[in-house]
Amino acid sequence: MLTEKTLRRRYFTGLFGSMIAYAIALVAVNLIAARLGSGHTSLLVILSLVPMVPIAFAVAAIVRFMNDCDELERMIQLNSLAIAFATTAFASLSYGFLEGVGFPRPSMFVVWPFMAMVWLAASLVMRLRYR
Amino acid sequence: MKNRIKLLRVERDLSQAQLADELGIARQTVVALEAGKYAPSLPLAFKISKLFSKSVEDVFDADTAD
Repeated sequence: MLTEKTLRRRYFTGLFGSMIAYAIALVAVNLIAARLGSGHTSLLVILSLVPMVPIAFAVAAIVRFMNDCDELERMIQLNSLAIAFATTAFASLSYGFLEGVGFPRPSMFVVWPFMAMVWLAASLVMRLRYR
Repeated sequence: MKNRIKLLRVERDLSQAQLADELGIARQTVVALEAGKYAPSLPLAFKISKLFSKSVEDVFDADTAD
């Protein structure tokens, strides 16, 4: 059986490795897209999704961590995810109504970082409860 | 839920990290169990009892369950 330290090291290596690969892919795709210019629509569509390949590896690292972690950690993570899910739903719906009265329409990229921040904050608070 | 995990661990001269490794759980979970802040699942409760060669009732106080 793998120790807690090994599991965490494997998780963070997988996650940060994927994030670094994502950043590199993002820069590379932007450079290539700038050189190509317009007129290569189908190629640009494929290129724009290339940075999602490393993100798929990040998802795999998260799923593997959730499967490998012990019952308390899994409970903390699932409760934190539930809080993040509900908070994001509340915030996005509220803002959706505000858009109806003229508030600016933000990018879809805003949703995930918001949810991730709530997930992180909730897991830190929950972890403190069990100390 | 109150329990005798800390007492039994100290009797056997085990550190929290060693007990965690024996049980295949995180040290954080051992800390929470010993503090009575976390009630383990039934399989984990049986695993802990078996490790200390005790019955579940000898390790955990069912009257203090949440």
